[in-house]
Amino acid sequence: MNPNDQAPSGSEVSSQETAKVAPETTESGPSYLTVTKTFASWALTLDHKRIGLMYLVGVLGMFFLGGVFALLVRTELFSPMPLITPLFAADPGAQADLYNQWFTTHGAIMVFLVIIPGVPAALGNFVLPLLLGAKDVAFPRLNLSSFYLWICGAAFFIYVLFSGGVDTGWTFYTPYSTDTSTAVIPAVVGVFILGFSSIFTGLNFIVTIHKMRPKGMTWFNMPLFLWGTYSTAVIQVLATPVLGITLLLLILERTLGIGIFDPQNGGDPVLYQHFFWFYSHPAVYIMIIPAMGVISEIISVHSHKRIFGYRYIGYSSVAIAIFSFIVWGHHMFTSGQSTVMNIIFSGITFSVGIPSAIKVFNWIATMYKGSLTLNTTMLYGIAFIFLFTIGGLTGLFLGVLSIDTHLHDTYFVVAHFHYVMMGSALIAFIGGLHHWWPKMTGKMFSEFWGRIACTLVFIGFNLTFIPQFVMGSLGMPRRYYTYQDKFEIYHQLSTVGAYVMAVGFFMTAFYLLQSLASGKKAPSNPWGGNSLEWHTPSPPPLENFHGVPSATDPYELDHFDYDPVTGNYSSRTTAGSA
Amino acid sequence: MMHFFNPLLSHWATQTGPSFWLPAPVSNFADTVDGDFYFVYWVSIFFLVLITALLVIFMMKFKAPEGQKATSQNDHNLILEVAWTGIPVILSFMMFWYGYKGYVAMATAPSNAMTVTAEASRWLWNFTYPTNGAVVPGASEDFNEIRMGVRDGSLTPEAAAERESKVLEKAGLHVPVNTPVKIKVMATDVLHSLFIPAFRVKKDCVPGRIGELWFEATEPGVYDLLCTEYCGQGHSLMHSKVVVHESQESFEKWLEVAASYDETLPFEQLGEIVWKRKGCVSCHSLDGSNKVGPTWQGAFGSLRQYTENGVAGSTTVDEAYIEESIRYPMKKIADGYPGQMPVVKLTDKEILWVTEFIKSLGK
Amino acid sequence: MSGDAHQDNSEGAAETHHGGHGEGHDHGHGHSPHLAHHFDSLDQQFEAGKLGMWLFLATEVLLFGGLFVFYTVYKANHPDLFEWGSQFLDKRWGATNTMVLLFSSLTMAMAVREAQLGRKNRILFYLAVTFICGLGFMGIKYLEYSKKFHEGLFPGKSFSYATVDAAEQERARIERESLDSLIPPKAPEANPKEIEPIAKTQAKGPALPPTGLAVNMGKDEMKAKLKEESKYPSNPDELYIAPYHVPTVPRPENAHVFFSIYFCLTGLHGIHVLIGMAVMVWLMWLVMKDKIGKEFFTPVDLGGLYWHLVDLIWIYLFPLLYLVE
Repeated sequence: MNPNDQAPSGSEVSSQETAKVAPETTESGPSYLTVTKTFASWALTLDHKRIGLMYLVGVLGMFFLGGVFALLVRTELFSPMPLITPLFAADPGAQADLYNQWFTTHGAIMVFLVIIPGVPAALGNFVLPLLLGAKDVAFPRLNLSSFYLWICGAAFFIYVLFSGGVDTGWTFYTPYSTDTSTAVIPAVVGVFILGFSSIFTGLNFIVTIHKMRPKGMTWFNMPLFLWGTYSTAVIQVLATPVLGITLLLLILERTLGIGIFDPQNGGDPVLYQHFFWFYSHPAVYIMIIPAMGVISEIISVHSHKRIFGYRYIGYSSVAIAIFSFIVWGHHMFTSGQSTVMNIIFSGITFSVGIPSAIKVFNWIATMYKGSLTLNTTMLYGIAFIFLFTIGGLTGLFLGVLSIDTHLHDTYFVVAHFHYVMMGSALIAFIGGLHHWWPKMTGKMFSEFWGRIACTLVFIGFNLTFIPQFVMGSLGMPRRYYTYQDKFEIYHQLSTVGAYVMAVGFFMTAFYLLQSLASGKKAPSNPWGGNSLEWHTPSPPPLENFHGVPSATDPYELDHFDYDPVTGNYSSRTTAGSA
Repeated sequence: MMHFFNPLLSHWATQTGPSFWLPAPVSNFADTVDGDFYFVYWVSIFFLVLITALLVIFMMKFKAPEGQKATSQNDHNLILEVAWTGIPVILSFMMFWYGYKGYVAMATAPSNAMTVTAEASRWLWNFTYPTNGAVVPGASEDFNEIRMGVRDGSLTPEAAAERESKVLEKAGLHVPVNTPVKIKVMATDVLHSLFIPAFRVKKDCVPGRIGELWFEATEPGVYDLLCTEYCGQGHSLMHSKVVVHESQESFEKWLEVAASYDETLPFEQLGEIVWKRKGCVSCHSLDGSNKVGPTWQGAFGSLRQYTENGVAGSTTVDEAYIEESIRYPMKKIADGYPGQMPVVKLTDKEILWVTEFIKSLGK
Repeated sequence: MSGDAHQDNSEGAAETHHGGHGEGHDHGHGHSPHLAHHFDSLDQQFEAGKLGMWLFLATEVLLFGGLFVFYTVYKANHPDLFEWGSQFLDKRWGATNTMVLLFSSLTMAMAVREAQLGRKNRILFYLAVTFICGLGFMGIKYLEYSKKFHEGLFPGKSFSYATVDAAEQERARIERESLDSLIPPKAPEANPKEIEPIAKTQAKGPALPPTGLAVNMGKDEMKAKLKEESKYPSNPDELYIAPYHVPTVPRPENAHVFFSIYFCLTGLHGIHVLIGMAVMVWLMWLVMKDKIGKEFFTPVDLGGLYWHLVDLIWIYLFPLLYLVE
């Protein structure tokens, strides 16, 4: 009868008879972290938690690398005169090239290696089966291969760094990308491989959510994070192949000159932009929708209150995912596509804004009359709402055709998408990391340093990007190595902000690492959440649960008692909702 | 343009100097764009303040120690939900509508607009005035030098201004005030984008395509012209100026000067300028490739098969044949090419220079 | 502790639920060797595999979908390009390949059916036939490709017109002869206009300006006549390009793009056929090792889905590339 009898061969856990013993008082067998210890047991693991954790390490490592390039770019822009590029190159032209490689590398790493896999692959891999009460994702081998594809893609990027860099901007626009002498092909191959990694993850999640929900968990009984990852996975599966074929053709254009994108051979560069944005606009939602899912969890759990408008949030995730496929043309309002197309794309663009607005109001309404625990995680959640509001509202400027004509390709756009991609997606990733950190590692981090770091990141972020809005609307184009003196003050403020933010992130890295070494032991439910991951020990055992959990209402949060000694929330009533 | 939709914002729209957010408005579109901008701006500020205030109030009011129960578990409120769906729908439709109206005006140039061609290459601009074929450079290098000079103190602001006006005598995009001007944008190599912040106009220059933008400058002066589509090493240096002349006369006077030749140059170079200015460039290549007409590379002295009134003939390409072909283009039509060459009126001098230019391209 | 109580409770509920589940699906033997540890039942595992495969096929469709959109865009902008280019493709080979793939789909379906019935030898037979069909398809593709390469019809920059030029000149000669024979009594000067366009077509260089400048008049009549007469040129051996390849449509600008699209589409499809053939080998290996039987035929089923998709894509490719008129 005991389902744990089917533990995989090769693992020492053959039986989990001790499941009914409290995790806090007695050791209930090894956790997924300690069950096996060899290198191979990690490198060849099929366990979603270990894969998620390896993704997390990889993504954070790449975040560091991308951050270094961001700081290089910001430092260089502190002055309109060459500042630090002369340290690396003597010739003024080579200095400008170097700057172009920096911002390209920063953009490509952050988009393809950090933000796109961040929430879905790193956090999602760890949390998704737990939220479903499942032992693993549907295809564990595919999951592992998806991780190794990510590694492979990352390796290509590292190779690009050492082979002279790439200077096309992360968009690889033709004909510049078919013309430049830099390492475009390895970079594009890297992105192509990462695309497969992304497709496999998405495919795995869709099947897992469809087929592995526990009995009793209906679609409208799922935690909203699952709605988020599901919508994201649909986009990943449907949009990424188009990027794949586009990049493949770009490689062929560069090597064989097939004449599809390069006007010199009879191709059409605007067609490339259409294809690129057909993927890359939905990709923005690959970044933001799961982030919204994370925030729905964080706000609800840390307000100890039922999420407001559950169905609205769920539906709006799906609505955003669908709309995201038909708005790509708003990246091309000035490219010379027809007037009629511009008008249609502008109209549809506004339809994406509305579900996003609804979500923001729902989160705020969730906080109303809640019992707000203003810990680090919640502060990240609230910071997200503020930053996402700015990101969304400034998106309205860019959707309005007449204004976009002025603002297109200026720093206003740069600031806007940083508010969405970093201020929202990445802040939600960091917030989710804090939210699930006790579950992942079994350790509590320092709240004191956590709050300070969060405040620094928040202040630094706004200081970096608010000046960019101003200089953008004043006419400062993006991707400029040098600029007119009148923009100097804005750039200087922005650079200072970037360093403040960097200090915040380094602080985060330190206290999180410190918690691994000497953090307090985490209870199974430190925040008072009711989704299934909080019903298993921290860190969870190899097969996630002792026994098979049954689905409960994830947002029924008022039946917990807090134990100040263990820091654990435990259920008052034994009736549950079974 | 009238701001009937937004009387509250009229003082923003009619301002003349640069504001905190936007550069000085100096074209017919600036009022519309700025009006739209401030409409969205104030809507955004309203919601940002509202949301921030709610967040801060809730954070203070509902802050509670661990373990305390929420006072409500309510998760729906129909009126609120309808309101916060409906209001954004209405507002975003308004935004779309204003943007649409403003954009349609930008997309269609009036038929009486004066046309100028702007051609972008890495990393320079060339402006062509079809009325007399003058090709005027963007002179990005000069402007950057002046900027650097001011920066490192080797140029006083006055000296810089003086040098700039000297450069602008034969460079930059010049337009008369209060006249509709249509700019045809094109690129020779990679993508570029023509951006004049003060006019609120922008259009990508796509190789192989001709784009179009138009405006009517409302204030004489000198304004920035920038490239906003990433084009490589010199992207941030593709900086030129727009000069708005205070009258049609002063513009025409400038154009005459700009169109004149610097006769101290060698004849071949002058011939190349003619080749560009007079549009020979669009049909005759210099690199041996066949366009609508025969290439000029190695043309001089070669044997040319032609058809004259349906009778085949041949001749060596020499001074006389070149002059005849320019003056009477449809007389002898080279075999393999359509007889499409228009009559381009060149002066004797220009014909001489062109001939020397063709000679210099080898036999 | 109440936390434990909660856990106990949920587990208790789950125990019963699991029991019910097991009875419903496992038919008494819950530990099938084919069941992965994280699934509750073989049914669930099969369903998951099937859904996963369909999703994967959706990504494949979108991958090709991208190329089909490129095709559509270029077809809409340059219809002449496709009319010209498709003359170089041999409809007979294309049709043969279509038949081969259709037949292989049938044998694949039979293999799936036999797998469900668990008849080992028959599965092997049908898988082998499917594999051979794939081999035949690739063989024919090889013949077609090598012909194109001989003729210089490469994708991209290495594309060469030399052979095509020779063929076109030959065509022009035939054209002229046939026209001469149509209007024998008149002197050339009397009707120069009718001759002129031919002369110009003949002189067309590799990168002539916008199409159709020369051949506007009489194009249709000329085509009709050529269809009758030029199919059999006086001495076909002189031409590298076989008689039915002699283009009857004037060559448009950037004609090489047709071959770029042709090679991209058929090349990507060919790679998929090769992968499909590898899958057949893998399936045969599984069958021989007795890893597939009545109760577990998922791999054959999914392999079949994949093969049908590859087939389906060819069904679209064939008319889009070969049958352009």
